[in-house]
Amino acid sequence: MKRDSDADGLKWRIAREIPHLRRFARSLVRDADRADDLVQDCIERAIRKRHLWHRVGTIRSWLFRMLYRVFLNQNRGRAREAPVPVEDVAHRLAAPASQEDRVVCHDIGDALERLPAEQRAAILLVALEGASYDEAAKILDVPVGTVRSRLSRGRDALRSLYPEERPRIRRVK
Amino acid sequence: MSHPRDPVTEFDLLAYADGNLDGDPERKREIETYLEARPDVAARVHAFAWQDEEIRACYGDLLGEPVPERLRAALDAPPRKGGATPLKVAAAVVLLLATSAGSWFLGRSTANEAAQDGDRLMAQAVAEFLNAPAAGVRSVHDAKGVRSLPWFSDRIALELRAPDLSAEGFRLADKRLISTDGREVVEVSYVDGDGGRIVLMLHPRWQETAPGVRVDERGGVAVAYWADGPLAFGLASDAGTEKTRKLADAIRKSLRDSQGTQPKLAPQIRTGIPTVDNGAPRTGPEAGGAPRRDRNGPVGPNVIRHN
Repeated sequence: MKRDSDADGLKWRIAREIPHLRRFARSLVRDADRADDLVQDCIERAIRKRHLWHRVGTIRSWLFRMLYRVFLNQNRGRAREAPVPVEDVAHRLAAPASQEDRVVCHDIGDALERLPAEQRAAILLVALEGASYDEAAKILDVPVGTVRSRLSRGRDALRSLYPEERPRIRRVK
Repeated sequence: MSHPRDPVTEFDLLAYADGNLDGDPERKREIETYLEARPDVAARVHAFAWQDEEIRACYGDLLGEPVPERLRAALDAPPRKGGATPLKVAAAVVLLLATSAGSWFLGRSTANEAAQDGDRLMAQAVAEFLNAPAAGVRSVHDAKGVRSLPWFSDRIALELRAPDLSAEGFRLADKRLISTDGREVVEVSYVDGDGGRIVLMLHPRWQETAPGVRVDERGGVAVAYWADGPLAFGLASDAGTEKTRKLADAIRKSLRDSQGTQPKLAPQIRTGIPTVDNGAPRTGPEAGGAPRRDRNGPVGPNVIRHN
């Protein structure tokens, strides 16, 4: 099977997506090791299920979809983080960032972390990965309307958790 | 003020904020005009676009990080056998599978003793697990892929199907008959692709019912204990209580699927010493991957080495 040129081609294409997968995983779970565990599980699964890759859509969508599904499966058993009231968030945001593992940004990452995973994932796919709503819908395995409502609710929640400092009206480029 | 050709919806606002309307300049201008007249809506849309920028600034650097070696290595790792994502079992897992043999039981116990049996099973499972020898099993291939286990002794013939653990990535590797704790036990080994090993031990005992799967932890070893019909099970592993429970559920389900609710018991009394097979691999078509489950009935006499 290693000499199968199709398999080698697919492995090479998967290899190219690893940085994107890592970034998506890090945005879903903040801990760097857990995120890489997620990516590793996804890669292994993709290799195992390569016969399911039908060349419809992009490799990236296919992998992201797989990663998201692995993420959901792993989180099913985990205790859900209790939603944090907005007032508490303000205090936490005022405290200095501590762990080395944390993503550099401090604040919006913190805010995103407080959203339900499904809203966070929708926002990240669109904002970070530049996915269209259709692509996001395929990756998350929901209808496009659901993507939009998650985006809308998630972004409104983000706005409370992490408001702009100087609101100003200008054309959005 | 000109009216947009279609009413402006949340969809349009989101799309505008995400830059998705750049391909439709006319619509984009309609939205912008709409927003100029509604500062609060515009503020919201602006906030969304700003969030995008913040997010990209926050996570953008991650693309430039070097890829950890273990992720590259994952591309070349041999694919695990079996369909479902297998549980990562770190070390050997010991399974005790006990069955009541109806009128052929080797020992009688009351309900109290059965409960004590349960504890003893768990203690035994833990002890076996801690003392389990290093993996070094030979491969035994059953051509038809059905792991039937006729058990010959001078007193009882009992035939059971071993659990099909191929979905968990384990395949049957070895069988032998040993004596432990004054009882005769069939020991069956499974291995997975990563060197993980399961040892399955069968011996008859009096029926006992226990509700659900109980999982305890003793000295770093998680033990799951449950009963299904005439079968009582004990499972020990060092993979943690959650994974042990999942493995227990998988085994339970696998047994139900392959056996219905009752194992096939062969009510034959045999006497004499059975023919000894030294366990050399069978000739014939080797199962290349995990054996497939076959529900049509036991096939082939898998002879067990008698200690």
